[in-house]
Amino acid sequence: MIKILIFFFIITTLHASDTNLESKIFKNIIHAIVQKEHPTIYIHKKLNSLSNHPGGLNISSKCEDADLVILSTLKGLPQKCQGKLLFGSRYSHLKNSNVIGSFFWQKGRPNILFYKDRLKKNQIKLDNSFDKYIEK
Amino acid sequence: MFKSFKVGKSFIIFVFLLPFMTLISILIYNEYLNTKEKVFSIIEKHLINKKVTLIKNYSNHLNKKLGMEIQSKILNNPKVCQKYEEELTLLQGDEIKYLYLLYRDSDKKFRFLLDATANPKDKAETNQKFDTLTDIWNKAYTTQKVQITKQEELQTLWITIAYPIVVNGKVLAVLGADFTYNVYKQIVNTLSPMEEIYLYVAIFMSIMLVIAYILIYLYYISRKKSFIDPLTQIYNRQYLYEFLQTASLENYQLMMIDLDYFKSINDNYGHDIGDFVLISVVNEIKSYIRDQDLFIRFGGEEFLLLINGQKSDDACSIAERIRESIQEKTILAKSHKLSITISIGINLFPFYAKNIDEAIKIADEQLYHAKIAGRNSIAVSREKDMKQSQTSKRISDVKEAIDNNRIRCAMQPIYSAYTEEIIKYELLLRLIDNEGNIVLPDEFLPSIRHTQVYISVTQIVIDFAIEMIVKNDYAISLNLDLQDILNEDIMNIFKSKFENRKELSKHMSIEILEHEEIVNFDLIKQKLSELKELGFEIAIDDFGSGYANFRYLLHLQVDILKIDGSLIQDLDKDKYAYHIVKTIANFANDMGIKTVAEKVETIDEVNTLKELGIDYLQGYYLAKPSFDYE
Repeated sequence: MIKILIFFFIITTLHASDTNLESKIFKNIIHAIVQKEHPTIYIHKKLNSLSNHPGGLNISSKCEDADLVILSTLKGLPQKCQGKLLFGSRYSHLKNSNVIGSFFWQKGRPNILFYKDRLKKNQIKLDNSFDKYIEK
Repeated sequence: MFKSFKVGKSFIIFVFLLPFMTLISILIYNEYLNTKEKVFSIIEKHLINKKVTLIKNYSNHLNKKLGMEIQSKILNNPKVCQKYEEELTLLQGDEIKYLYLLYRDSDKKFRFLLDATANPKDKAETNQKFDTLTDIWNKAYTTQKVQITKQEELQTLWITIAYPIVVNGKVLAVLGADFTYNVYKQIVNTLSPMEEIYLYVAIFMSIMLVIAYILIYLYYISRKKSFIDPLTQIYNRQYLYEFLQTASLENYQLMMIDLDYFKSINDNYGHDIGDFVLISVVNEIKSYIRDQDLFIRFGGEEFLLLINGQKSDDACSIAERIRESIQEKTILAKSHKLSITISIGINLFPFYAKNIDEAIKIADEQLYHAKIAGRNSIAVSREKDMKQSQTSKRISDVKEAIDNNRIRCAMQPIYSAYTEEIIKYELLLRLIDNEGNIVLPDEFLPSIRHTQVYISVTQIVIDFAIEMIVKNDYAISLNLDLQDILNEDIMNIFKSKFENRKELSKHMSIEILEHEEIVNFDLIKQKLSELKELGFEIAIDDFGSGYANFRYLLHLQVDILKIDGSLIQDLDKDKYAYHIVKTIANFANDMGIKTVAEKVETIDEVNTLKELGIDYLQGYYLAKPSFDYE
């Protein structure tokens, strides 16, 4: 019984630390893109890291109110979200040219990727610290 | 805190051996952890070296096949890429989670050339950017040497190897290999069972140590309690013997202190006030003694005080101060103003006694003299009192027997020679020792004679006689030494129990036995008269032998003559014995005095005694003494 409890504790702790890290990275990216103190975001489908640790973000249930739309999938994206800034959570999301960038896990490591032309098209100027994540 | 404490073997084991073993088990556990780290390090190094060798071989293979064009051939030709990715997959093995080939572009960003990852969700595309968390990749490029790092931040990866592929002195790519965290867990799991065993042993020993110390503490507390008298909070008699195992009497003088007429306080005011008086007296005495003295409640209202000091004046002056202080003290107990006095017997040289019991006996004898002298006084032992008693049973044995209810009375019936019916029982004092053996009075009475213990024993016998009269309606015959009836305490017991209770005393005969020649016949006559006034029959025991002779009959009002057993035993063989018994019987008959023959052991003796007109018969032939009272 004690072993089961310890295992459960370790798993939840590890999971919590992963989602916590992911949430922090997301928040840095969102603040860099939106450049507001309290950006409003809309999460398409479900993204536990941000839902559980929203921090200084306003999470809206309406896409039209959002400064930025965070995607967990591209499928079923509401019509109202068209024209909004889209940011992905998988490498594959970048295949959609409306997605300005993506944050995803690959090889157990966090990866961030922006396309320069998409940023320019949306008149987004990121901080210099993001340069190494921007692809030409 | 105890003045002294005897340290046993188990105590040494608890205090020294157990902590030592606990320390050893902790050291073993610690040593195992160090060894485990070393073993872990060796396994880790072995695994890395094995993989580095494999990667090195494959690097040579790539070098040979692709050479300087490694980047362009892979980037420009998907089939080449696919072929080498398949080769890379074969190299991967179970312990490597990710195996990939990177190159550094002109912006110094790392990009994938090959990726052996099978999972399509985790597989990188060719030329996809690779975000580096550590600088091992750049180091591999600049140093052209293999770089190894442990992934502290990533939870699924353990160790990452960056192996530079050098062609013509230039690094063209870096082979990356991520060891899965599972490998680390496998090694840990392999080594853990032993660690758990050592850990459990260390924890077990630590818990045992804690329990042992708790037990020692509890033992110490309970042992301390067992040595403290709960009422007065001073040491009890058991502690005296514990104390003497580690201390010598050489530097001590011994006092026996007894509260005068304490029983009357209990009888008149109740035991609560009696207890209060005891506590008050103890506190008063404590204020006159020092830490180095030993004050013990020896039993009831009797105390023993060991004064530390070699000058004989020490004990005497302290005793006098204590006596005066108690005499002047008024004890206020529940609206009663009480005064009490104490008697003190002092043994100035307890060290000269054979043992503590002898030393106490001497002090107790002095206490007896102090009581005889009228109480509220002090008696001090002289040098002649130092001679040791030769009696086999010590005063403490008798005290212990009293406390443990081992002072008993056997009863032997006395028969009517005419009706052959039991007319009374003689009480015979016995002590049951620790082993359950019956000890006869000759073996223990001499050691307590002239002490307060003797009075206590007499009290027990009298109480038993009353119980037998009341409970079983028996007539009882009780033995007293002639000196006993001169003892005021014993006479007071008889008066307190039988005064105005002739319904009891008429069932009781007192057999007087004489150890010394009577000097003051008038005093004896007076005491015997007092006993007769209380309603007792008076018998002369062992008549016809020793001091017991016809003079009694001239001076004393005797009811019964108990003919000495030695005359009865020689009745058939010795014509002089026969004639003496015949003369006694005739004389007694003429005087109206009843006769008892004791130690009757044969039918011939019974018949002869009947012929001689003896009234009562007693002896083994008729019935042995028994503890069966019903």
